[in-house]
Amino acid sequence: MRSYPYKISGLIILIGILFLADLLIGSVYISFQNIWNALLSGNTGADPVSVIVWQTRLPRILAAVLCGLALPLAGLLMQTFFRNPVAGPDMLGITAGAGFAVAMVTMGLGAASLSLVGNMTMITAAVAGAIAVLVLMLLVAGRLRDHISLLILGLMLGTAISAITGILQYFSNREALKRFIMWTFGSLGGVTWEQLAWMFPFILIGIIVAWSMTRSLNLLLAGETYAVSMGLPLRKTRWLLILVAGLLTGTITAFCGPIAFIGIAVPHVARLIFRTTDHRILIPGSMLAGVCIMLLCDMLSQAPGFEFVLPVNSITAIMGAPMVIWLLFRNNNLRQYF
Amino acid sequence: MQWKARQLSAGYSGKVILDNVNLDLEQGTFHVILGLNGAGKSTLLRTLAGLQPGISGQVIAGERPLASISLKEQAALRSIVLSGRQDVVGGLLVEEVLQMAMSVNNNTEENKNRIVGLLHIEAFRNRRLHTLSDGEFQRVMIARALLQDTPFVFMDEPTAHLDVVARIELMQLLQHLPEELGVGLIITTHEVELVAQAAGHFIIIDADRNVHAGDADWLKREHMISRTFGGDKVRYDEAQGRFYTS
Repeated sequence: MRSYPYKISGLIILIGILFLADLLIGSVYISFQNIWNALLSGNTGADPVSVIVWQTRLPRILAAVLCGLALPLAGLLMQTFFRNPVAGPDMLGITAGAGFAVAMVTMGLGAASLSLVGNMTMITAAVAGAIAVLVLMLLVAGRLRDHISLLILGLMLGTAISAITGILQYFSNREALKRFIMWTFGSLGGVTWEQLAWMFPFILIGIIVAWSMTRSLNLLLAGETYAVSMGLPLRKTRWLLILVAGLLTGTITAFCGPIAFIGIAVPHVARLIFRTTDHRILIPGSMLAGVCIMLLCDMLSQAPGFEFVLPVNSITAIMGAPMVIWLLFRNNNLRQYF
Repeated sequence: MQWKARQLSAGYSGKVILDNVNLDLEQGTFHVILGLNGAGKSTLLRTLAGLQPGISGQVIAGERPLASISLKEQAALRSIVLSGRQDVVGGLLVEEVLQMAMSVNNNTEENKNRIVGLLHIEAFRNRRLHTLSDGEFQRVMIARALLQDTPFVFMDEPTAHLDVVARIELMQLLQHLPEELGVGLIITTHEVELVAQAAGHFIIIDADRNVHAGDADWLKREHMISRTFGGDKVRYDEAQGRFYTS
C-alpha cells in the first residue's frame, strides 16, 4: 500500500531516462552532448543537429508520450466499466470509424487524384470518422438497458465498418491501397508540432474528465447494483465513458493511425505493478506505465542500427501480446480484478 | 421517517407479479418478507428499494415519491445488501469497501469503528474480499450498508449460501440492528424458523400473491406461517416453531 509513492516516482524517473535514450536513437547518430546542447539552445533550426532534434525526434517522442497517456487510460476505463479484461479502446468502433473515413478519402474518392490527398486530408477524415461513430454510440447508449449490449454494439459496428473498408480495399488500385495500408501501420514520425498542439488539449480534457470519474469507477468495482445503490449515476457514467474513451482513442488514431494493443495491455501492467483496484492509483499508474512502454516501442520501431523504420502498430502488438500472455501465467489470480 | 407503498404494482417489463401492495415501514423496526420461492419476495424488496421501477402506484420515502428522487439522494436514504458475492471485485480491500459507503453521508470514523465492532470484522479490515469466507464477506457488505448511514436498509436474502452457524449468528445480529441503530431494516428470507419468533413486522406473500402484513402477534393469531407454508407434505408446529414432514 505504502509503496505507491516509490513506484510512481520510479516510473517517472524511468520515463526521464527512456525519453533521453529515445532522443539518441534515429537514423543518424548524434552524441548525447550535441543533443543536450541542441535541446538547451531551443528550436533555432540553425544547424542540422538542431533540426533533427527539434523537428524530427522531439515531436515523434512527444507523440509517443501522448499515445502512452491516452490509450492505456481509455483501455482502463473500458475494462472497468465493461468488467472485461480484454476490453480495449478500439471496441467502441471508433478506430474502425476513423479507418473507414481514411479509406474513403484514399481509396473511395481519391483513387483518381491521389496526389490531392495530403496528410491533413487523412487526419481530417480520421477525425470525422471517429466523431461520427462516437456520436452514434452516444445516441444509442441511452437506449440500451445494460452495458453488455453496448459492448456488443460497439463490436458489431466496428466489424461492419471494417468490412465495408475491406470492400473498398478490394476494389482500389495498388497505389491507393498502399497509401491506406501505410496509414493502418500507424506512425509517430509524421506528427508535427502543429498537430501536437491539436492533440494536446483533447487528451488533456480526456484525462481531466477521466480523473473526475474516479469515484464512479471505484464504485463500479462493487458491481452495478451495489454501485447504483451507493449513488452511481449509471447513465451519466456510461455517457462520459464513451465520450472520454472516444476522445482519447479518436485523437490518437486520427494523428498517429491505429496503435494496437497498448490500450488493452498496459492497464494490466499497471495492476501488476501496483496490485490495487483503486483508480486513484490505477489512472496515473496506467498512464505512466503507458508512456514507458510507448517510448520503448518507439525506440524499437526506430530499429537502432538499421536503415529502416518499423511500423509502430506492429511493434506495440508484438510487445503487447507476450506481455498479456506473460501476465496470464504469472498472475493466475487475474480474476480478483474482474 | 416512514417508507410506504401505496397501490404499488411490482413486476418485470409490464408483467405484474404483485398487485395493489400497501405497506408502512418504520424506522427502528425489523421487517421480514416471507413467501415461497417465486412468490415475488425479491421483486417486492427491489421495487421498495428503488432498484427496479414499479409498474404502477408509488413507493414513498418520507413525504416524496421515490421515483422523483435522484439516485444520489436515494443513496442517502436507503442502502442495500444482496445475497452472495454478486459481481463484487475480489481484489477490493475490506477497508476500501467500507470507505465507498462512508462517503455517501460523510460518516465519521467513530461510527465506523462502532459498526466494525458490531459486525465483528475488525480482524480482516486489511484483507482482500476474495480471501474472506462467505459469512465474513456478507458481514462486510452489511457493515458497508450500515456505514452508508441511511434511515432504511434493504437486504435480499442476506443469509443465503451461508453455513448453519453463520446463518443463525447473522440472523440474531440482524434482528437487533433496528433497535440498536434506529434503522428500518427490511429483509427477504427463507429462514422462516429463525425469524418466526422474532419481534418485528411481517410481510407475507401467499400462494395467490396477495401481500399481508402485521406484527408478531398477528402472525401467530392468524396462523400465517402454517397457512403460507403448510401443505400436504409439510406441517408447521406453532408451539415448537418448526416444520415437520406430515
